[in-house]
Amino acid sequence: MSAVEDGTSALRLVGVSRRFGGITAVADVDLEVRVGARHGIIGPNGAGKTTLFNVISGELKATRGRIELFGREITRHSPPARVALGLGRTYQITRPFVHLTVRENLTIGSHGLSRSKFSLFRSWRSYRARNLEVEELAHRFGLADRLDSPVSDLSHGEVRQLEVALALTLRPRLLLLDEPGAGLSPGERVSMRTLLHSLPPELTLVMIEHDMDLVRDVVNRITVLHFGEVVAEGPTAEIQSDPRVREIYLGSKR
Amino acid sequence: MSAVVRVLDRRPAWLRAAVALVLLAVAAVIPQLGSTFYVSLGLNFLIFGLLAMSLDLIGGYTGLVSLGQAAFLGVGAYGIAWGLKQGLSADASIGLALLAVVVTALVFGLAAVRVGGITFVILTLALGQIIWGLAYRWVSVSGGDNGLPISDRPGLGPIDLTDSAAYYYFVLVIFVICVLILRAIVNSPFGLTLRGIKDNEPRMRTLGYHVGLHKYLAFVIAAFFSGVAGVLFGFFNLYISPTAIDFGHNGTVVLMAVLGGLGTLWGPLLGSLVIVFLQQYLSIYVQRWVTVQGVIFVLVVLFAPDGLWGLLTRMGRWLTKRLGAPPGVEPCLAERSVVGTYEDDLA
Repeated sequence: MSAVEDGTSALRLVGVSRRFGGITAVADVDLEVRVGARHGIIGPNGAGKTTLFNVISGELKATRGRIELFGREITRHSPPARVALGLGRTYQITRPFVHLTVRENLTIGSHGLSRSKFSLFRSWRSYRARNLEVEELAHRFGLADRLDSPVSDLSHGEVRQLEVALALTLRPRLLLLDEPGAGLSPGERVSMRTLLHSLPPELTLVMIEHDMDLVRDVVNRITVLHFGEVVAEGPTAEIQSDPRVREIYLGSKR
Repeated sequence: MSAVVRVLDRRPAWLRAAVALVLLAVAAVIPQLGSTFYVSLGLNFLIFGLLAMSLDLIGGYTGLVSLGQAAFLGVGAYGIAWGLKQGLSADASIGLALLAVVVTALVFGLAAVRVGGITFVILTLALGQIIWGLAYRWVSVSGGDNGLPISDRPGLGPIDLTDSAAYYYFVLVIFVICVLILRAIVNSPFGLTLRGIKDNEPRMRTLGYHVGLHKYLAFVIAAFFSGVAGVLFGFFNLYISPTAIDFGHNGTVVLMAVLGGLGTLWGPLLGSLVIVFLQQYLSIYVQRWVTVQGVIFVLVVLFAPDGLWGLLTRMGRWLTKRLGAPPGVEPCLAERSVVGTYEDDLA
């Protein structure tokens, strides 16, 4: 458990469901993540993990249930309204702005919650404090010498790092990481792990990940989803030895 | 030689300022050539250049290509014509015209920015046709098919703008001011936002942006500058009729912007220069100038999908690379991959 964890809840889902026509992608999910926690969400493909993230971020509306962010109900909030309350997220399929440079990407993020995003006549390059912030972030994420490269020139690993950096430009209090390790080479995986470890301890993390090494390394509590339902939840070690989880991943004995 | 090339490659601020000054000087010399034809050519270029640049703000930067941009030019021109007909002063008529443009954009924008892609194109086409239909059918206000005369150009203090050279300089000044404002807008955080929306709208939402509001503002700002072009257009021709804002003219504005290169501001300006030249100059000598225009457009779309401006900048980069590379050093390591493929084509 993280030292900063203070018992108040960062994210609370009560009976959240999301249906697509007749298919229930997320079924009656209850979830509580405390402030400062590092929470993992695992489950086989199609378990509804990313749909759950989309419902939390507001890109999909919940069909049923209630979502609270730092004690405030956000079930009907738009995505930008949730961002304003401290929610950040990254995507499994990376989605930075591919036609813009790394600097432009991070600058867009850094203005996202400020009134300066409506500034019409001042060059975005003239915001000194934001420029420093962007450069510092790029430096931390090993992108310092790529600042003026278009994203289309970056390697996959660099794009993954940019994806996380982009989410951090908004200084979120809760960060949803959707498979930050997907498609990374072993070397890139190590730097991603270092990077996730370097995140401020007061930042609450919820991470979807298939790479169990990365999960074990970063999170201390795991929720297991299967067919949209929560089948197990608990400390990492407990979940790893849970027979139901083994059954889901390896198939039943029968 | 290579030092010169390297300076060209970096395109420092003083160099860009120098190029701008030279172009301005060329523009300023036109009325001195003594031909009213060139003045008229220049006026057409400045007015349609401004219109094409305003389209670029919504089309090129935000990714919402409007097929109804000439309609806002129409509202601007009809606005002054109607105001003057009611006996308002020239200043009041201009104010009224620009207000009408903004109000129209505020209303149309509510519908337009809800959709994207091809739906936006069709919706703006329809909205443009509404304005055209009103101009054509609402005879008591618009004069219908006959259009409305615009009695006279106002004076500007002691300067008499009825002289076409004087009016040209007036338009040039307004044009430069508008270009400076548009340039500031595309370089602002707001302009960066528009490029982000074009690139990846859903991502903008999860970065805290109320995307619709930004698109709405961009739509209204673009319409405002089209309206300014309309006021200049009205006082230039001293007449406005539905023909000026029909489907063909709405299409021509898009043609200018696409031909020059969307999303660069200078591209649409170049595009309008080419189209105005073809329409006003080549048409005198070549009966089938429309065919020429069509062939040029097809060639540009096929071989320079990012427009004439894109072609120019790529050629410039290729040349500087050829001429300016110090021996043994690979220049421009961080160039875009498109440049690579283009060079492969040339090789």
